[in-house]
Amino acid sequence: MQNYAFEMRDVSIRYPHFSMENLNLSLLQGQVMGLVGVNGAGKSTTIRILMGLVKANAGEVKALGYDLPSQQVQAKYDIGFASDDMRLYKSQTLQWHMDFVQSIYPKFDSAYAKDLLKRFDLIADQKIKGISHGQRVKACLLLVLARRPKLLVLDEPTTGLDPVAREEVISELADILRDDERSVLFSSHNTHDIEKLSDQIAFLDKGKLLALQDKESYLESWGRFRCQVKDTASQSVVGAVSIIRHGQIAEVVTDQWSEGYAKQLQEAGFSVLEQHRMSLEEIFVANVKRSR
Amino acid sequence: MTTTIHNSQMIKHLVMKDWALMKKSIAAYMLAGIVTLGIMGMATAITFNIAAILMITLLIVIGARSAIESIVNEKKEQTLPFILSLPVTPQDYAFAKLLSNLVLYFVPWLILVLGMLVIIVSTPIYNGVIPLVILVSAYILAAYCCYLATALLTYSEGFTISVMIVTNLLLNGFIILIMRLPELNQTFEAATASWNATSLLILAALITFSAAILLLTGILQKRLTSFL
Repeated sequence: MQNYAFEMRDVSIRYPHFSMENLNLSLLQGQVMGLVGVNGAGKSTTIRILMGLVKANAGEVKALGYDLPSQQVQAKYDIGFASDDMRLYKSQTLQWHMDFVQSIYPKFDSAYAKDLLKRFDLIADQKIKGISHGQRVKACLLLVLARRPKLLVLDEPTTGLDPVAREEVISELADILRDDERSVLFSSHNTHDIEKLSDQIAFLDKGKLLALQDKESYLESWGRFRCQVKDTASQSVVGAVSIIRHGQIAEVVTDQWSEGYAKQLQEAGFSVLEQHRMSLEEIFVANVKRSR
Repeated sequence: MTTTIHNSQMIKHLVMKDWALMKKSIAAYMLAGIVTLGIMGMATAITFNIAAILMITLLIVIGARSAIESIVNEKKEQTLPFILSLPVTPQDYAFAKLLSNLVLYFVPWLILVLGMLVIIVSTPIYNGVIPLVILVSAYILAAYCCYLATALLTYSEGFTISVMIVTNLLLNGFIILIMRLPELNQTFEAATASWNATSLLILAALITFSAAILLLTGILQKRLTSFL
C-alpha cells in the first residue's frame, strides 16, 4: 500500500474572481513536489487548504493520514509550514521565537537549530525588526526545520531573496531532502528552484492542474524543433503543442518528444534543422500558453 | 468547542505569548493608572474631574491598544500565518485571542475600577458618585467588547477603528444621559452610594450586552472559512 504525505481529492473552492474545481493532487511519502504557476494560479490557495487555513467548498484533504481541516491540530505537529508572507514578531528576538516554538514542539532539535543559526549566518539575540528580508526568510525556515517535520510545506520560500540568500536556502533544502522520510511540497514561480529540488512537478494555472508528473520524464517529454517548412506541409502535427511560423521557418514545440518525433515531423512536411531539449521555464510558459 | 477544550495546552501557549508581548505596555498603563488614582485621591472637585477624564482615556486606550496590537496587527503585520502554522485550529486561535484579550484588558480594568472605588470610599469624595463611576466603567467595558468582537471577526483595522470611534462618541451621550436621569443625579452628592432600579437596570443591560456580544463572536467565528 502506498503511503501518501498528502492527498487532495476533488477539491473545489470558489471566490468571486477565482475558482478551483475538482483538484486532485497527491504526494508519496519521501517525495518532493514543486508546485509551479504564475501569480494567481492557485498555488497559495492549494497550500492554505492543505494547511487548514482555508476551508474548501468540496472535496477531501488528508495529510500524513489525518483528515483536514478536522484533524489539523494533530497533523500540524508533523507539518512544517512557511510562506513568503510569514512574518515574526518585530519586537522579539529570534531566540524568543525559538524558545516559543520549542515550548510547543517536543521534537524541536536545539542542536540542529544552533547549527542552522551558523549556516544561515543568523544572530539569535537580534530583534526581528533589525534583520533583512533574506534573514527573516531564513529565520522562518530555521523555526520550521528545527521541528523536524515529516511534511514540509513551503509557499514561495525564495521569493524576494538575493541570489546569495537564495542559494543558501536552496542548498539547505537540498540537504534536508536527503532524508528519505521527509516529504516536501513547495510552490514557486521560480522554475530554476523547482528544477533543482523536485522529484515531481505540478503545474497550476487559473485553479486548474495542467500537469502532474515526475520531473525527469516530464522534462524528457518536451522538446523544441526548428524546421524548414515545405510547401506541402500540413497545418498541424500530432503531438505539437505549438507551431510558430516565420516564413519558411517554423518552431515546433511538443510534449511527446521521442527519437522518432523528428521523423514524424519530416513526414508532415517539416524538415528538422535543429532540435533542443527545453528547460522547465520554457515548458512552463508553453504549458500556460497552451491552456489559455 | 470540543477541539478547543482538547487543545487547551496550545491555547495556554498563545495566551502566554500575548502576555509576553504586551506585559511592558500593560505595566506602563498600570503605572499611569496609579498616578491617575493619586490625582483622584487629592479629593478636590478639580482633581477628581481631571482624574476621571484621565481614567476614562486610560481605560479606552488600554482596550484599543489591546485589540489593535494583539489581533488586528497580527494580521496586518503578517504574524498570523506563523501562529496558524502551529498546531492550532483558527477557532483555537480566536478563542485564545478572546481569552487573552479579556484577561489582558479585564484585569487592568478591574484593578483600576476597584482602585477608584477605594479612593472614593477612603477620601472625602462623595460616595454617591460610585454608581456613576461603575456605570461609565461598565459602558467602556461593553464598548471594548464591541471592538474586540469586530477585530476578531474582521481582523480589519478600518472596521475596528470605526467601531472604536462610534462607541467613544456614544460614551459622551451615555454620560450626559445618566447625568440627566433624576433617579441618578439626585444622589451624586450623597454620603453613601445609592443604587436604584434605573441604575441597576442600566448596569444589568451593559453586562448582558457585553456577554451577548462575546457569545455571538464565538458563534460567528465558527462560521468563518478563510483565516488569512
